[in-house]
Amino acid sequence: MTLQPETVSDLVTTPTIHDWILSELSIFDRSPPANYLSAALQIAVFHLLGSGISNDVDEESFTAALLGSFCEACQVCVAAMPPASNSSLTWRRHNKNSSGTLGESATGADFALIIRHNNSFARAAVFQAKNGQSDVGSFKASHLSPATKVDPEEQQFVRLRRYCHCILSGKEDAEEALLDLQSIGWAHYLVYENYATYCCPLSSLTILEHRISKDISPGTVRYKDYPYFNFVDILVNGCNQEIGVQPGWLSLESSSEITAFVKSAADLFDIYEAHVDPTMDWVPLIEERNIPPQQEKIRLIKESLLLPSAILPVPVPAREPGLESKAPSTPPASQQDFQLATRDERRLRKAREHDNKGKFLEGRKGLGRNPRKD
Amino acid sequence: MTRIELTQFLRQIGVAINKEQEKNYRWASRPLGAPKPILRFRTLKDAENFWMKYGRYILYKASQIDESISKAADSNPGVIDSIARWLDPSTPDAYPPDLSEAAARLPEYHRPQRWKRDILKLASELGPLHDEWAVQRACYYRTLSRYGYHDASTGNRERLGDNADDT
Repeated sequence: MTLQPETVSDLVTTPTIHDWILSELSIFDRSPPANYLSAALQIAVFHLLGSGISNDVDEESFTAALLGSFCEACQVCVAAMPPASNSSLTWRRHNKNSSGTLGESATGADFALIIRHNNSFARAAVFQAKNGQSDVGSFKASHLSPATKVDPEEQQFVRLRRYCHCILSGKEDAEEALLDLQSIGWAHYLVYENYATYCCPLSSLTILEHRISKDISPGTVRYKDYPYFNFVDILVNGCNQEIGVQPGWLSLESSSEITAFVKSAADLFDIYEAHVDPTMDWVPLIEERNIPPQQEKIRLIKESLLLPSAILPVPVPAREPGLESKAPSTPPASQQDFQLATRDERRLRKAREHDNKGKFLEGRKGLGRNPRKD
Repeated sequence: MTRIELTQFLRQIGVAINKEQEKNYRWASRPLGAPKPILRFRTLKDAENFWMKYGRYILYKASQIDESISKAADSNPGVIDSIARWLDPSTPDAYPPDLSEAAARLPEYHRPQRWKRDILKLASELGPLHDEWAVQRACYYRTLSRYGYHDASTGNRERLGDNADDT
Protein backbone atom coordinates (compact mmCIF):
# COMPACT_ATOMS: atom_id res chain seq x y z
CA MET A 1 0.00 0.00 0.00
CA THR A 2 1.45 3.35 -0.99
CA LEU A 3 0.38 6.26 1.14
CA GLN A 4 -0.20 9.66 -0.36
CA PRO A 5 2.06 12.46 0.88
CA GLU A 6 -0.75 13.89 3.04
CA THR A 7 -1.01 10.58 4.89
CA VAL A 8 2.70 10.13 5.22
CA SER A 9 2.95 13.57 6.76
CA ASP A 10 0.79 12.29 9.61
CA LEU A 11 3.59 9.91 10.47
CA VAL A 12 6.50 12.24 9.87
CA THR A 13 7.19 14.95 12.35
CA THR A 14 10.38 16.29 10.90
CA PRO A 15 9.26 17.93 7.67
CA THR A 16 12.71 18.64 6.35
CA ILE A 17 13.73 14.98 6.39
CA HIS A 18 10.33 13.92 5.12
CA ASP A 19 10.58 16.36 2.23
CA TRP A 20 14.09 15.23 1.50
CA ILE A 21 12.96 11.59 1.33
CA LEU A 22 10.16 12.44 -1.07
CA SER A 23 12.38 14.59 -3.23
CA GLU A 24 15.11 11.93 -3.40
CA LEU A 25 12.56 9.38 -4.52
CA SER A 26 10.87 11.74 -6.97
CA ILE A 27 14.22 12.29 -8.70
CA PHE A 28 13.95 8.66 -9.77
CA ASP A 29 10.20 8.89 -10.46
CA ARG A 30 9.33 6.76 -7.46
CA SER A 31 6.01 7.08 -5.64
CA PRO A 32 5.87 8.22 -2.02
CA PRO A 33 6.93 5.28 0.16
CA ALA A 34 4.63 3.08 2.19
CA ASN A 35 6.92 3.36 5.20
CA TYR A 36 10.33 4.60 6.25
CA LEU A 37 12.02 1.28 5.46
CA SER A 38 10.76 1.27 1.90
CA ALA A 39 12.16 4.77 1.49
CA ALA A 40 15.45 3.87 3.11
CA LEU A 41 16.10 0.77 1.02
CA GLN A 42 15.22 2.52 -2.23
CA ILE A 43 17.34 5.56 -1.46
CA ALA A 44 20.21 3.32 -0.41
CA VAL A 45 20.23 1.63 -3.82
CA PHE A 46 19.89 4.89 -5.76
CA HIS A 47 22.73 6.53 -3.87
CA LEU A 48 24.93 3.48 -4.20
CA LEU A 49 24.37 3.33 -7.94
CA GLY A 50 24.86 7.07 -8.19
CA SER A 51 28.17 6.82 -6.40
CA GLY A 52 29.53 4.63 -9.18
CA ILE A 53 30.63 1.96 -6.72
CA SER A 54 28.81 -0.75 -8.67
CA ASN A 55 30.91 -0.07 -11.76
CA ASP A 56 32.91 -3.23 -12.25
CA VAL A 57 33.59 -3.86 -8.58
CA ASP A 58 33.93 -7.39 -7.21
CA GLU A 59 30.91 -9.13 -5.72
CA GLU A 60 32.04 -9.07 -2.11
CA SER A 61 32.76 -5.33 -2.23
CA PHE A 62 29.40 -4.61 -3.86
CA THR A 63 27.57 -6.60 -1.17
CA ALA A 64 29.44 -4.81 1.59
CA ALA A 65 28.75 -1.41 0.05
CA LEU A 66 25.07 -2.22 -0.44
CA LEU A 67 24.56 -3.35 3.14
CA GLY A 68 26.46 -0.35 4.45
CA SER A 69 24.25 1.89 2.35
CA PHE A 70 21.11 0.14 3.69
CA CYS A 71 22.27 0.62 7.26
CA GLU A 72 23.05 4.30 6.83
CA ALA A 73 19.88 5.10 4.88
CA CYS A 74 17.81 3.43 7.61
CA GLN A 75 19.38 5.66 10.23
CA VAL A 76 18.62 8.77 8.22
CA CYS A 77 15.08 7.84 7.18
CA VAL A 78 14.05 6.69 10.63
CA ALA A 79 14.81 10.21 11.82
CA ALA A 80 11.70 11.23 9.90
CA MET A 81 9.63 9.11 12.26
CA PRO A 82 8.14 10.43 15.50
CA PRO A 83 10.69 11.02 18.26
CA ALA A 84 9.45 8.00 20.21
CA SER A 85 11.03 5.73 17.66
CA ASN A 86 14.21 3.98 18.53
CA SER A 87 16.40 3.91 15.49
CA SER A 88 18.70 1.37 17.06
CA LEU A 89 16.03 -1.23 16.48
CA THR A 90 15.84 -0.86 12.76
CA TRP A 91 18.72 -2.91 11.57
CA ARG A 92 20.27 -6.06 12.89
CA ARG A 93 22.76 -8.53 11.62
CA HIS A 94 23.21 -12.17 12.50
CA ASN A 95 26.64 -13.24 11.42
CA LYS A 96 26.89 -16.78 10.19
CA ASN A 97 30.50 -16.85 11.30
CA SER A 98 29.52 -16.45 14.91
CA SER A 99 29.59 -19.27 17.43
CA GLY A 100 27.44 -22.22 16.59
CA THR A 101 27.75 -22.05 12.86
CA LEU A 102 29.32 -24.52 10.57
CA GLY A 103 31.18 -23.22 7.67
CA GLU A 104 32.98 -20.33 6.18
CA SER A 105 31.43 -18.10 3.64
CA ALA A 106 30.82 -19.57 0.24
CA THR A 107 31.79 -16.42 -1.58
CA GLY A 108 31.15 -13.60 0.88
CA ALA A 109 28.61 -12.19 -1.56
CA ASP A 110 25.48 -13.96 -0.33
CA PHE A 111 23.11 -12.77 2.36
CA ALA A 112 19.56 -13.19 3.58
CA LEU A 113 17.31 -10.22 4.21
CA ILE A 114 14.34 -10.45 6.56
CA ILE A 115 11.80 -7.67 6.60
CA ARG A 116 9.69 -7.93 9.69
CA HIS A 117 6.22 -6.46 9.70
CA ASN A 118 5.20 -7.56 13.14
CA ASN A 119 6.19 -10.32 15.52
CA SER A 120 4.20 -12.89 13.62
CA PHE A 121 4.74 -11.85 10.01
CA ALA A 122 7.89 -11.32 8.02
CA ARG A 123 9.22 -11.68 4.52
CA ALA A 124 12.56 -13.19 3.70
CA ALA A 125 14.73 -13.37 0.62
CA VAL A 126 18.22 -14.56 -0.20
CA PHE A 127 20.55 -12.68 -2.51
CA GLN A 128 23.74 -13.77 -4.22
CA ALA A 129 25.55 -10.83 -5.81
CA LYS A 130 26.71 -11.25 -9.39
CA ASN A 131 28.72 -8.89 -11.49
CA GLY A 132 26.70 -8.49 -14.67
CA GLN A 133 28.90 -6.18 -16.65
CA SER A 134 27.76 -7.11 -20.10
CA ASP A 135 25.76 -5.32 -22.76
CA VAL A 136 23.35 -8.21 -23.31
CA GLY A 137 22.46 -8.73 -19.65
CA SER A 138 24.22 -11.86 -18.52
CA PHE A 139 26.25 -13.24 -15.64
CA LYS A 140 28.56 -16.16 -15.14
CA ALA A 141 26.82 -18.95 -13.25
CA SER A 142 29.77 -21.33 -13.39
CA HIS A 143 31.40 -20.06 -10.20
CA LEU A 144 32.60 -22.86 -7.94
CA SER A 145 31.87 -22.45 -4.25
CA PRO A 146 34.89 -23.52 -2.20
CA ALA A 147 34.89 -26.56 0.05
CA THR A 148 33.96 -25.90 3.67
CA LYS A 149 33.91 -28.09 6.77
CA VAL A 150 30.69 -29.56 5.46
CA ASP A 151 30.32 -28.74 1.80
CA PRO A 152 32.49 -30.14 -0.95
CA GLU A 153 33.65 -27.81 -3.71
CA GLU A 154 30.62 -27.50 -5.94
CA GLN A 155 28.74 -25.29 -8.34
CA GLN A 156 27.52 -22.16 -6.59
CA PHE A 157 24.03 -22.75 -7.96
CA VAL A 158 23.97 -26.28 -6.52
CA ARG A 159 24.96 -24.99 -3.10
CA LEU A 160 22.50 -22.13 -3.17
CA ARG A 161 19.77 -24.55 -4.16
CA ARG A 162 20.64 -26.95 -1.34
CA TYR A 163 20.76 -24.12 1.19
CA CYS A 164 17.26 -23.09 0.13
CA HIS A 165 16.17 -26.68 0.59
CA CYS A 166 17.69 -26.73 4.09
CA ILE A 167 15.78 -23.57 4.96
CA LEU A 168 12.51 -24.91 3.63
CA SER A 169 12.90 -28.19 5.47
CA GLY A 170 12.57 -26.17 8.68
CA LYS A 171 9.21 -24.83 7.49
CA GLU A 172 6.41 -26.98 8.83
CA ASP A 173 4.05 -26.68 5.88
CA ALA A 174 6.68 -27.12 3.17
CA GLU A 175 4.97 -29.37 0.67
CA GLU A 176 6.86 -31.11 -2.10
CA ALA A 177 5.95 -28.54 -4.75
CA LEU A 178 7.29 -25.76 -2.53
CA LEU A 179 10.74 -27.34 -2.67
CA ASP A 180 10.76 -27.37 -6.45
CA LEU A 181 13.17 -24.92 -8.07
CA GLN A 182 10.29 -23.24 -9.82
CA SER A 183 8.84 -22.32 -6.43
CA ILE A 184 12.05 -20.75 -5.18
CA GLY A 185 11.33 -17.26 -6.31
CA TRP A 186 12.69 -15.85 -3.06
CA ALA A 187 16.36 -16.64 -3.70
CA HIS A 188 17.91 -14.34 -6.25
CA TYR A 189 21.03 -13.71 -8.18
CA LEU A 190 21.45 -9.99 -7.52
CA VAL A 191 22.97 -8.81 -10.77
CA TYR A 192 24.61 -5.40 -10.62
CA GLU A 193 25.64 -3.34 -13.58
CA ASN A 194 27.02 0.17 -13.96
CA TYR A 195 23.83 1.98 -13.03
CA ALA A 196 21.35 -0.83 -12.46
CA THR A 197 20.62 -3.76 -10.17
CA TYR A 198 18.39 -6.65 -11.14
CA CYS A 199 17.10 -9.74 -9.39
CA CYS A 200 17.06 -13.02 -11.21
CA PRO A 201 15.18 -15.54 -9.03
CA LEU A 202 16.22 -19.18 -9.02
CA SER A 203 12.71 -20.01 -10.18
CA SER A 204 13.56 -18.34 -13.49
CA LEU A 205 16.72 -20.36 -13.89
CA THR A 206 15.46 -23.79 -14.77
CA ILE A 207 18.01 -23.50 -17.58
CA LEU A 208 20.68 -24.04 -14.91
CA GLU A 209 18.82 -27.04 -13.56
CA HIS A 210 18.65 -28.43 -17.08
CA ARG A 211 22.35 -27.87 -17.67
CA ILE A 212 23.33 -29.53 -14.41
CA SER A 213 20.90 -32.40 -15.05
CA LYS A 214 22.67 -32.77 -18.37
CA ASP A 215 25.95 -32.91 -16.44
CA ILE A 216 27.46 -29.85 -18.03
CA SER A 217 28.72 -26.58 -16.52
CA PRO A 218 26.07 -23.92 -15.80
CA GLY A 219 28.12 -21.52 -17.94
CA THR A 220 26.83 -18.02 -18.62
CA VAL A 221 23.17 -17.06 -18.28
CA ARG A 222 21.48 -14.37 -20.32
CA TYR A 223 19.10 -13.58 -17.50
CA LYS A 224 17.10 -11.04 -19.46
CA ASP A 225 15.77 -13.91 -21.55
CA TYR A 226 13.90 -15.10 -18.45
CA PRO A 227 11.63 -13.43 -15.89
CA TYR A 228 13.62 -10.99 -13.79
CA PHE A 229 12.93 -8.00 -11.58
CA ASN A 230 14.35 -4.65 -10.74
CA PHE A 231 16.01 -4.93 -7.32
CA VAL A 232 14.36 -1.73 -6.12
CA ASP A 233 10.91 -3.13 -6.94
CA ILE A 234 11.73 -6.28 -5.00
CA LEU A 235 12.66 -4.16 -1.99
CA VAL A 236 9.43 -2.18 -2.28
CA ASN A 237 7.47 -5.45 -2.49
CA GLY A 238 9.14 -6.68 0.69
CA CYS A 239 8.14 -3.54 2.57
CA ASN A 240 4.52 -3.71 1.42
CA GLN A 241 2.52 -3.85 4.63
CA GLU A 242 -0.40 -5.77 3.18
CA ILE A 243 -0.04 -9.22 4.67
CA GLY A 244 0.33 -11.85 2.01
CA VAL A 245 2.63 -13.21 -0.64
CA GLN A 246 4.72 -10.72 -2.58
CA PRO A 247 6.78 -11.57 -5.66
CA GLY A 248 10.39 -12.26 -4.79
CA TRP A 249 9.80 -13.02 -1.11
CA LEU A 250 9.15 -15.98 1.14
CA SER A 251 6.29 -15.22 3.51
CA LEU A 252 6.87 -16.25 7.12
CA GLU A 253 3.46 -16.25 8.69
CA SER A 254 4.04 -16.94 12.36
CA SER A 255 6.68 -16.25 14.97
CA SER A 256 7.71 -19.91 14.87
CA GLU A 257 8.16 -19.74 11.09
CA ILE A 258 10.28 -16.62 11.45
CA THR A 259 12.38 -18.28 14.12
CA ALA A 260 12.72 -21.46 12.09
CA PHE A 261 13.89 -19.48 9.06
CA VAL A 262 16.51 -17.66 11.08
CA LYS A 263 17.62 -20.85 12.77
CA SER A 264 18.17 -22.56 9.42
CA ALA A 265 19.47 -19.60 7.47
CA ALA A 266 21.86 -18.42 10.18
CA ASP A 267 24.14 -21.34 9.42
CA LEU A 268 24.16 -20.62 5.74
CA PHE A 269 24.11 -16.89 5.22
CA ASP A 270 24.71 -13.62 7.00
CA ILE A 271 21.23 -12.47 7.90
CA TYR A 272 20.18 -8.84 7.89
CA GLU A 273 16.95 -7.96 9.58
CA ALA A 274 15.00 -4.76 9.25
CA HIS A 275 11.63 -3.65 10.54
CA VAL A 276 9.01 -1.56 8.78
CA ASP A 277 7.96 -0.05 12.09
CA PRO A 278 10.85 1.09 14.26
CA THR A 279 8.53 1.88 17.16
CA MET A 280 7.53 -1.73 17.65
CA ASP A 281 9.09 -3.91 20.27
CA TRP A 282 11.44 -6.21 18.51
CA VAL A 283 11.71 -9.72 19.85
CA PRO A 284 15.24 -11.02 19.27
CA LEU A 285 15.34 -13.92 16.85
CA ILE A 286 18.55 -15.51 18.02
CA GLU A 287 18.66 -15.89 21.74
CA GLU A 288 22.38 -16.24 22.17
CA ARG A 289 23.14 -13.09 20.29
CA ASN A 290 24.21 -10.35 22.66
CA ILE A 291 23.10 -6.94 21.43
CA PRO A 292 24.04 -4.13 23.81
CA PRO A 293 21.42 -1.46 24.52
CA GLN A 294 21.60 1.74 22.48
CA GLN A 295 23.08 3.78 25.32
CA GLU A 296 25.77 1.18 25.84
CA LYS A 297 26.60 1.20 22.14
CA ILE A 298 26.88 5.01 22.18
CA ARG A 299 29.13 4.84 25.25
CA LEU A 300 31.41 2.29 23.57
CA ILE A 301 31.65 4.34 20.38
CA LYS A 302 32.33 7.55 22.32
CA GLU A 303 34.97 5.82 24.36
CA SER A 304 36.74 4.74 21.19
CA LEU A 305 36.72 8.36 19.97
CA LEU A 306 38.81 9.63 22.91
CA LEU A 307 42.47 10.18 22.31
CA PRO A 308 44.77 8.06 24.41
CA SER A 309 46.13 11.21 26.16
CA ALA A 310 42.67 11.97 27.46
CA ILE A 311 42.09 8.66 29.17
CA LEU A 312 45.57 7.46 30.00
CA PRO A 313 47.98 9.14 32.44
CA VAL A 314 50.51 11.26 30.58
CA PRO A 315 53.96 9.77 31.09
CA VAL A 316 56.32 12.26 32.70
CA PRO A 317 59.71 12.15 30.96
CA ALA A 318 62.59 11.21 33.25
CA ARG A 319 64.70 14.20 34.13
CA GLU A 320 68.30 14.09 33.06
CA PRO A 321 70.85 14.95 35.71
CA GLY A 322 71.80 18.62 35.67
CA LEU A 323 68.68 19.68 33.80
CA GLU A 324 66.40 20.10 36.85
CA SER A 325 66.25 23.87 36.48
CA LYS A 326 65.16 23.60 32.82
CA ALA A 327 62.37 21.11 33.45
CA PRO A 328 59.01 22.74 34.23
CA SER A 329 57.91 22.32 37.81
CA THR A 330 54.27 21.92 36.75
CA PRO A 331 52.73 20.28 33.67
CA PRO A 332 51.80 22.53 30.73
CA ALA A 333 48.48 24.35 30.94
CA SER A 334 46.74 21.93 28.60
CA GLN A 335 47.65 19.02 30.85
CA GLN A 336 46.58 21.01 33.92
CA ASP A 337 43.15 21.38 32.35
CA PHE A 338 42.75 17.62 32.46
CA GLN A 339 44.38 17.16 35.80
CA LEU A 340 42.67 19.97 37.82
CA ALA A 341 39.29 18.45 37.54
CA THR A 342 37.53 19.12 40.83
CA ARG A 343 35.82 22.33 41.82
CA ASP A 344 38.31 22.98 44.64
CA GLU A 345 41.18 22.45 42.28
CA ARG A 346 39.70 24.83 39.76
CA ARG A 347 39.15 27.43 42.50
CA LEU A 348 42.75 27.00 43.63
CA ARG A 349 43.99 27.41 40.08
CA LYS A 350 41.92 30.57 39.62
CA ALA A 351 43.33 32.00 42.86
CA ARG A 352 46.84 31.22 41.68
CA GLU A 353 46.18 32.86 38.34
CA HIS A 354 44.74 35.91 40.12
CA ASP A 355 47.74 35.99 42.40
CA ASN A 356 50.15 35.71 39.48
CA LYS A 357 48.25 38.41 37.62
CA GLY A 358 48.56 40.75 40.61
CA LYS A 359 52.28 40.06 40.85
CA PHE A 360 52.61 40.59 37.12
CA LEU A 361 50.84 43.96 37.35
CA GLU A 362 52.95 44.96 40.34
CA GLY A 363 56.00 44.02 38.34
CA ARG A 364 54.73 46.10 35.41
CA LYS A 365 54.24 49.03 37.75
CA GLY A 366 57.72 48.56 39.10
CA LEU A 367 59.11 48.29 35.63
CA GLY A 368 57.32 51.49 34.69
CA ARG A 369 58.77 53.39 37.58
CA ASN A 370 62.34 52.28 37.39
CA PRO A 371 62.90 49.69 34.71
CA ARG A 372 66.61 49.36 34.86
CA LYS A 373 67.27 50.17 38.48
CA ASP A 374 68.28 46.62 39.43
CA MET B 1 11.08 -42.12 13.82
CA THR B 2 13.45 -43.46 16.40
CA ARG B 3 17.16 -43.14 15.91
CA ILE B 4 17.40 -46.74 14.73
CA GLU B 5 14.48 -46.35 12.31
CA LEU B 6 15.93 -43.17 10.85
CA THR B 7 19.39 -44.71 10.53
CA GLN B 8 17.97 -47.72 8.72
CA PHE B 9 15.78 -45.62 6.46
CA LEU B 10 18.63 -43.32 5.47
CA ARG B 11 20.95 -46.24 4.86
CA GLN B 12 18.42 -47.60 2.39
CA ILE B 13 18.50 -44.36 0.40
CA GLY B 14 22.30 -44.22 0.51
CA VAL B 15 22.87 -41.87 3.42
CA ALA B 16 24.72 -42.50 6.68
CA ILE B 17 23.97 -40.54 9.83
CA ASN B 18 26.28 -40.44 12.83
CA LYS B 19 26.62 -38.67 16.11
CA GLU B 20 29.43 -36.23 15.48
CA GLN B 21 29.78 -33.12 17.62
CA GLU B 22 30.75 -29.92 15.83
CA LYS B 23 29.94 -26.88 17.94
CA ASN B 24 26.14 -26.94 18.40
CA TYR B 25 25.65 -29.67 15.85
CA ARG B 26 25.46 -33.20 17.16
CA TRP B 27 24.50 -35.12 14.04
CA ALA B 28 26.15 -35.39 10.66
CA SER B 29 24.96 -37.12 7.53
CA ARG B 30 27.02 -38.15 4.52
CA PRO B 31 26.66 -40.31 1.43
CA LEU B 32 27.45 -43.89 2.38
CA GLY B 33 31.19 -44.39 2.16
CA ALA B 34 31.97 -40.67 1.74
CA PRO B 35 34.79 -39.27 3.91
CA LYS B 36 33.06 -35.97 4.73
CA PRO B 37 29.57 -35.18 6.00
CA ILE B 38 27.40 -33.18 3.63
CA LEU B 39 25.00 -31.84 6.23
CA ARG B 40 25.00 -31.28 9.96
CA PHE B 41 22.03 -31.04 12.27
CA ARG B 42 21.46 -29.84 15.80
CA THR B 43 19.01 -32.58 16.63
CA LEU B 44 17.94 -35.90 15.23
CA LYS B 45 14.52 -34.35 14.64
CA ASP B 46 16.10 -31.70 12.38
CA ALA B 47 17.83 -34.47 10.43
CA GLU B 48 14.60 -36.39 10.11
CA ASN B 49 12.75 -33.27 8.92
CA PHE B 50 15.34 -32.56 6.27
CA TRP B 51 15.65 -36.07 4.87
CA MET B 52 11.92 -36.74 4.98
CA LYS B 53 11.14 -33.55 3.07
CA TYR B 54 14.01 -34.14 0.71
CA GLY B 55 12.90 -37.73 0.06
CA ARG B 56 9.33 -36.66 -0.60
CA TYR B 57 10.58 -33.91 -2.93
CA ILE B 58 12.66 -36.43 -4.89
CA LEU B 59 9.61 -38.62 -5.20
CA TYR B 60 7.62 -35.64 -6.47
CA LYS B 61 10.38 -34.73 -8.92
CA ALA B 62 10.63 -38.29 -10.23
CA SER B 63 6.89 -38.36 -10.76
CA GLN B 64 7.02 -34.98 -12.52
CA ILE B 65 9.77 -36.14 -14.89
CA ASP B 66 8.05 -39.43 -15.59
CA GLU B 67 4.64 -37.93 -16.24
CA SER B 68 5.85 -34.97 -18.28
CA ILE B 69 7.82 -37.26 -20.59
CA SER B 70 4.81 -39.54 -20.97
CA LYS B 71 2.50 -36.62 -21.71
CA ALA B 72 4.93 -35.05 -24.18
CA ALA B 73 5.51 -38.39 -25.91
CA ASP B 74 1.77 -38.97 -26.22
CA SER B 75 1.35 -35.83 -28.28
CA ASN B 76 4.72 -35.93 -30.01
CA PRO B 77 6.64 -39.22 -30.05
CA GLY B 78 9.64 -37.43 -31.55
CA VAL B 79 10.22 -35.71 -28.24
CA ILE B 80 11.93 -38.87 -26.96
CA ASP B 81 14.78 -38.33 -29.41
CA SER B 82 14.98 -34.67 -28.43
CA ILE B 83 15.21 -35.58 -24.75
CA ALA B 84 17.88 -38.15 -25.42
CA ARG B 85 19.93 -35.62 -27.39
CA TRP B 86 19.48 -33.00 -24.69
CA LEU B 87 20.65 -35.44 -22.01
CA ASP B 88 23.80 -36.26 -23.96
CA PRO B 89 26.50 -33.88 -22.62
CA SER B 90 28.40 -34.11 -25.88
CA THR B 91 25.58 -32.43 -27.81
CA PRO B 92 24.60 -28.76 -27.53
CA ASP B 93 20.89 -29.56 -27.69
CA ALA B 94 18.69 -27.51 -25.37
CA TYR B 95 15.91 -28.74 -23.12
CA PRO B 96 13.00 -29.68 -25.39
CA PRO B 97 10.23 -27.03 -25.26
CA ASP B 98 7.62 -29.79 -25.64
CA LEU B 99 8.77 -31.20 -22.33
CA SER B 100 8.48 -27.81 -20.58
CA GLU B 101 4.97 -27.42 -21.94
CA ALA B 102 4.00 -30.90 -20.83
CA ALA B 103 5.40 -30.26 -17.33
CA ALA B 104 3.39 -27.07 -17.08
CA ARG B 105 0.18 -28.97 -17.90
CA LEU B 106 0.61 -31.70 -15.29
CA PRO B 107 -2.29 -32.23 -12.89
CA GLU B 108 -1.84 -31.32 -9.24
CA TYR B 109 0.48 -33.72 -7.45
CA HIS B 110 -0.93 -35.80 -4.65
CA ARG B 111 1.51 -37.39 -2.28
CA PRO B 112 1.19 -41.18 -2.39
CA GLN B 113 -0.15 -42.66 0.82
CA ARG B 114 2.78 -45.04 1.16
CA TRP B 115 5.39 -42.48 0.22
CA LYS B 116 8.11 -43.99 2.42
CA ARG B 117 7.79 -47.31 0.67
CA ASP B 118 7.87 -45.50 -2.70
CA ILE B 119 11.06 -43.64 -1.79
CA LEU B 120 12.76 -46.88 -0.89
CA LYS B 121 11.56 -48.38 -4.16
CA LEU B 122 12.96 -45.40 -6.06
CA ALA B 123 16.32 -45.79 -4.30
CA SER B 124 16.42 -49.49 -5.13
CA GLU B 125 15.84 -48.61 -8.80
CA LEU B 126 18.01 -45.51 -9.16
CA GLY B 127 20.65 -45.89 -6.47
CA PRO B 128 21.57 -43.39 -3.72
CA LEU B 129 19.28 -40.39 -3.54
CA HIS B 130 21.48 -37.82 -1.83
CA ASP B 131 22.50 -36.04 -5.06
CA GLU B 132 19.41 -34.29 -6.36
CA TRP B 133 20.89 -33.69 -9.82
CA ALA B 134 22.18 -37.20 -10.32
CA VAL B 135 18.78 -38.53 -9.28
CA GLN B 136 17.03 -36.29 -11.78
CA ARG B 137 19.35 -37.49 -14.52
CA ALA B 138 18.69 -41.07 -13.56
CA CYS B 139 14.95 -40.38 -13.62
CA TYR B 140 15.15 -39.06 -17.17
CA TYR B 141 17.12 -42.10 -18.30
CA ARG B 142 14.79 -44.48 -16.50
CA THR B 143 11.75 -43.04 -18.24
CA LEU B 144 13.54 -42.95 -21.60
CA SER B 145 14.39 -46.62 -21.16
CA ARG B 146 10.66 -47.33 -21.03
CA TYR B 147 10.50 -45.82 -24.50
CA GLY B 148 13.39 -47.93 -25.73
CA TYR B 149 16.58 -46.12 -24.74
CA HIS B 150 18.96 -48.30 -22.80
CA ASP B 151 22.05 -46.17 -23.09
CA ALA B 152 21.01 -42.60 -23.57
CA SER B 153 24.53 -41.27 -23.10
CA THR B 154 25.56 -42.84 -26.40
CA GLY B 155 22.25 -42.14 -28.06
CA ASN B 156 21.53 -45.82 -28.73
CA ARG B 157 17.89 -46.53 -28.72
CA GLU B 158 16.35 -49.93 -28.75
CA ARG B 159 12.96 -49.63 -30.34
CA LEU B 160 10.03 -51.38 -28.80
CA GLY B 161 6.94 -52.37 -30.74
CA ASP B 162 6.07 -53.92 -34.04
CA ASN B 163 8.10 -51.65 -36.29
CA ALA B 164 11.27 -51.72 -34.23
CA ASP B 165 13.19 -53.48 -36.98
CA ASP B 166 12.00 -51.14 -39.74
CA THR B 167 14.79 -48.62 -39.25
